Amino acid sequence: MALQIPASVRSKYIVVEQPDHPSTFDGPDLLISDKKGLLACFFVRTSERNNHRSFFGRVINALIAYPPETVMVLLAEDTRPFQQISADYPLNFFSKVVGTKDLFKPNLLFKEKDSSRKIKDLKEVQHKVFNTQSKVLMNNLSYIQDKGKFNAKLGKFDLGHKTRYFDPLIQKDVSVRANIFHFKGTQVGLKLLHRNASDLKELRPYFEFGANFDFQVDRGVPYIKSISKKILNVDNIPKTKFDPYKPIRVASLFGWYLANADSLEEIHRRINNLNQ
Amino acid sequence: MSIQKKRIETILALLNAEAFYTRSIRNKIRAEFNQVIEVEHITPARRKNILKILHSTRALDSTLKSFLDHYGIRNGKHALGQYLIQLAYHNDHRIGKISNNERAQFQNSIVNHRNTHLHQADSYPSNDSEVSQIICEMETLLSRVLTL
Repeated sequence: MALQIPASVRSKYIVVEQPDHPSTFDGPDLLISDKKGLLACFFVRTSERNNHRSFFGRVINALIAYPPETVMVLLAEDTRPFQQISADYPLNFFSKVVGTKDLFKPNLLFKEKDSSRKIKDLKEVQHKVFNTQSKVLMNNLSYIQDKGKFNAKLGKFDLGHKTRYFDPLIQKDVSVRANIFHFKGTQVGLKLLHRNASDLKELRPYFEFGANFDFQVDRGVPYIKSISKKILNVDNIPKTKFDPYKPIRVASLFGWYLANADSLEEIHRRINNLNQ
Repeated sequence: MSIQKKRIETILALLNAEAFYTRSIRNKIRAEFNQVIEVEHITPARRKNILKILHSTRALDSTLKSFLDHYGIRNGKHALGQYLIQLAYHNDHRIGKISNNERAQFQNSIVNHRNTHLHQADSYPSNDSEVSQIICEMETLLSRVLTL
């Protein structure tokens, strides 16, 4: 969807298309901001219509990372872009569902303030998630330092069955698309990073899995009992040019501990280290 | 828009909606972030890199000072490491706190690295990647503070 934001809106507000937040792998399609508040606007991209977990993965990531008072808005000319999901679903994730014409009056949308209870709950979730992220990130950086150079030639090993989990949006058990396996009580992901592709994009399915697996959204709050421990076995240290740590930062947000293991024994050791 | 500019615009959009981000500091913070972009073509590289860290630091320190003063929890502290302690251990129930793990993480990734280059004579970041790392960690801290 190409958004035509009027000049009158751009002159009065700060407008950022495809914003780049330090702690999100993707995020809202548009931010509109002034002293009255912050709008984070999403629309369902063509590529997401057959992959609702991709869309909701980035919504959940934004709910975690953006200020709790952010008004999350769904831009939808089509009230039901996901046929398998009930028409009520937007109410669970967004403060408001609007057509693009409503973007011309952000002032009215700023009034859609959330309850103090919701903001309190959201802050509690954010505190828990960022505390966990910090621990995982420190562990990952320490692992990278101890490991030194990553082994770029990893062998293949059998981790059994791919992970399955219950998707509350379609009320069904689903199997993950990415290479993520349920192994010894831990989710283990395997990824060979391509040299000519963005590591952040390559790891996106793993971030989406983390968002959909561990979080359950209720009235705009991504509730969580705890972030499950996960091992992400990669052949290279994931980096991006402008924000070198970003892939590791976002991976840590979703509980992924990095590994560069060339055998099942090494995977075992990494899992055992985490359990100590 | 370059990736760096997109990141700065995102941070400024987040700040714009905050009560503590008053008119008096808004232009100053934007000016400092703009300098991070404008010094990109300065040579030699080590001069460019130290200036990038300097301007990012000034943006971060001023924003945090304004935030802490708005909630009355700065308690006379002046340095970034002390600001982190205030963010972790203040007693104001109106806002949240960062955890001690986060405090330690940012102390290591920002304060320790930054102080080495800003306080030690003839010390410069070794490459563009190190500079980007420090600046992006500052932006991460800013975005985290706005969730409190």
